[in-house]
Amino acid sequence: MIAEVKRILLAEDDPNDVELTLAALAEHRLANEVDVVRDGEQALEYLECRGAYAGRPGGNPALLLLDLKMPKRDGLEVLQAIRRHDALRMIPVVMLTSSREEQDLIRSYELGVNAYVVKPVAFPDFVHAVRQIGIFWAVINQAPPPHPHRRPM
Amino acid sequence: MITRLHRIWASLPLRTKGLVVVAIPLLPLVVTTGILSRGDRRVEAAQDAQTRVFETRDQLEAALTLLIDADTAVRGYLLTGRPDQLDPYWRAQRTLPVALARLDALTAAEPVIHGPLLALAPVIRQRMRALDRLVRLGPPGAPGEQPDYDRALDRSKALMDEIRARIASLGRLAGRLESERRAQTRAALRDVLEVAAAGGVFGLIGGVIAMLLFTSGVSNRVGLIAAAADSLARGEPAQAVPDQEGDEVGRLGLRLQEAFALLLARDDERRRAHEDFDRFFEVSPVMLCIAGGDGYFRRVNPAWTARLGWTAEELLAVPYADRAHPEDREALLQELSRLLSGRSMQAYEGRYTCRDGSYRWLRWVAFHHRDEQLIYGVVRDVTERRRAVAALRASDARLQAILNNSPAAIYVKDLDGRFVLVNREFERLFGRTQAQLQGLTDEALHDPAEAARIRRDDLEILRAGRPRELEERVPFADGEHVYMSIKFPLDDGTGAPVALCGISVDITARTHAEESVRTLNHALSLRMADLSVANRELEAFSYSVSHDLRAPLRHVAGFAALLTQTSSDALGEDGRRYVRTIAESADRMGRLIDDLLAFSRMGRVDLRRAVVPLRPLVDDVLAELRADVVGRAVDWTVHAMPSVYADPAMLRQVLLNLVDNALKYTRPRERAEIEIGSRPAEDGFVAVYVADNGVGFDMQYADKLFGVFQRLHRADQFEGTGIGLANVRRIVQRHGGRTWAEGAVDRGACFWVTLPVTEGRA
Repeated sequence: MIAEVKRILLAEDDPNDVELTLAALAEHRLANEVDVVRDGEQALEYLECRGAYAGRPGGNPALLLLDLKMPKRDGLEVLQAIRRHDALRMIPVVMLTSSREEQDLIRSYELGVNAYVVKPVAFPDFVHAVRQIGIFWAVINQAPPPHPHRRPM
Repeated sequence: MITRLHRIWASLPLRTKGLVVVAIPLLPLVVTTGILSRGDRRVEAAQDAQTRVFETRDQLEAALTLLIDADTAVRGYLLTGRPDQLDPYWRAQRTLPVALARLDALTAAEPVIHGPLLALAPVIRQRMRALDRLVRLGPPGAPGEQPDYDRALDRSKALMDEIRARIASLGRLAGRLESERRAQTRAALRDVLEVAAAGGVFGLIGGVIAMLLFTSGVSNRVGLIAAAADSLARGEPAQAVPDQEGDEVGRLGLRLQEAFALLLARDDERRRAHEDFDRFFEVSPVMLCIAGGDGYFRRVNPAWTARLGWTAEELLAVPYADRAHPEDREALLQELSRLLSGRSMQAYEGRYTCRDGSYRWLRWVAFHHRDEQLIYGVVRDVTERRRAVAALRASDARLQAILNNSPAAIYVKDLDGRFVLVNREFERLFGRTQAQLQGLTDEALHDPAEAARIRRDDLEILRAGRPRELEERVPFADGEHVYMSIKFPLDDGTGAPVALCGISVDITARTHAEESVRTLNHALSLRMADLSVANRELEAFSYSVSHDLRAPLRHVAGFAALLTQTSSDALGEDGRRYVRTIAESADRMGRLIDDLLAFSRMGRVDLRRAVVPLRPLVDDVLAELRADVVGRAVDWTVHAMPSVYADPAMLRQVLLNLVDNALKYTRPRERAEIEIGSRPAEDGFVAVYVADNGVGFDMQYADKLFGVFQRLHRADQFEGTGIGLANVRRIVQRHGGRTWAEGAVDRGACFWVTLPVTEGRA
């Protein structure tokens, strides 16, 4: 049984990483559902459907794969902005990063990240990790409702 | 009642007791005597009466005889006519009235006889008159008168018969009376005898009672007191005298008892005085001795043995001067002869032999008791004092040397500011000797303003009574000198200052040096700022290493893998091997970077310490490594271990690294032997070891083992990045512990770490 696959947004500035990530997802036929943005600013434009993404099909992605180190606005800033945004705050966010630094981990969780994954150096491990993430969040996990309303105050 | 009587008896005075004792037997005797004297009178009276009755009968007989004799005489005269025949008659004529008067007197008290007797007397007188008439008639001469005779004779005869009858009756009466009186006499006598007997018995009883009273009241008690006195006299322990009655004996007893008590108290006092003396003598730490004029000790106290080791017998056996030090003997003997000649002895100090052959300095003080020819000595061991004096002298000399060799100028001034003592440096500084400075003040050395300043400071310090540090600037020919001075009052031991001492160090050079130090410090603090910038940069660097260096590596590995997947056939055998090597190298470099970062982080993160039991932690580590030893034969020996005070996570890392190493380097062994245990280490630490029977190492590289990326084996022999032991050392050092390793090539290795056992260490 193949469950409904929702879109995944990948925010990653490094084209090599983008390619490897897509390659890993492609092995599990998840690649077609991935939209890629190349920095934090683009990620927010995408999510808020403005700028270059003003006319994109509506709806939040089922998962945001977020790199920490990106030009303009980095992953943590993007995460902070999303969590403060009424329409976006429920989007599942997984940090996919090279950093093992404790300070990054702590900061990410403080800002309400859903998962934090360090990219393994060995490619088979990397593939395995990305695949797990993709299947879990895009397939197994029940996403938040598509049009979240402002919570009654 | 009886007790009370007894008490009363006992308390009576002795004189009264004597009276009572004499009176009790005497009283019956007196009474008896009284009674007897009265009975005697009664007996006498009875006897008198009896005698009178007896005499009455005699008199009656005599009167009758006289009458008969008279009658017979008259008849004879009448017959014979011879007048001499009339003699009895005349005699009767003379005596009869006397006899009758006597009878009257005798019977006056006896009315029974007196009456008849009174009646008899006229008859007798009638008879006598009748006889008288016959006598006067004379013998018959003339016949004519014959008839008268016959009548007279007849009448006489009748009278005579009547008299006879009456006397006979009287005789019977008297007889009866006599027996009556005799009975009375006997009764009276019997009464007297009975009274006498009763008196005797009472007297006897009284005597016995008196004796008993005397015995109990006097003699027994006196006896007891005498016995007590006897025992006291014999010197036996005095006993209480069992008599405290109110009489003289009691008082005697009481006094005797008081005398006993007094005697006892005196005895006790004397004994105690003696004991006191003995005790002093025995316990005195000072050596005491009594010696005779003959040069021998008579008595020594135990202090001698304690001090010198000789027993008392040994000391008494030899003339005491013999044991004096040969050099001091003469002086001792001289002192003694002086003493014996009557002069007082000066305190004499000399050496004296101990039993072990050593000498001790003794100070002798003695006096001579001329009457008993004895010397009493008090001897003190002054060895220590002499040593102390010598030490003090040495110490003085030492202090003097220190003072004189001190680079500081040292001086002592009295309360008026006059120099008392200066050291050599001070002399050098001012070009004057101590003798020259004696009595001078600072005015002689400095200009008036400077001298006044110094004097002001000195007085203030003396007033405050506390040391004070001050910097003094003194102008000299070669320019101004700066002195760091410490000045303090010297007191007399009770706190009152007697002088002021100063120590001044020339810090002119140091002052200059301090300035350069300040400059250097400033430079250093700038460097420190640089360093902390560098440190921050290093952190940023390691952050970027973790992020930026790993990304390209991942790419190398990733694309190499993709290349294999997509173009495996085109690559050919060699190509595939190259790509594999690329992937492996990237992987390896990734691990190196990770380890390096972990190592760097290990040095930065805070320690979170707690008391950690080692054994459970070791078990945990072994459980984690179990997967690595599947299929291998490993003999584990894990000993009991204490708890340590450490960061649990880091400690776990240490143990994991050590045990992992042991497993790694025993891989060539058929049976791996790994031992984990601990030994007590330096204060507050425990040394934990992990020993194996692995390939070991050459001890000359022992230090390299713990360096970062230092390896003693090729990577293809034993995998690893060479960071594990570096981490171990860093963690252990952060805990204050040490790390070392022992081993030999092919003979196994033993890795040691020390860890703090308790809080507050490390």
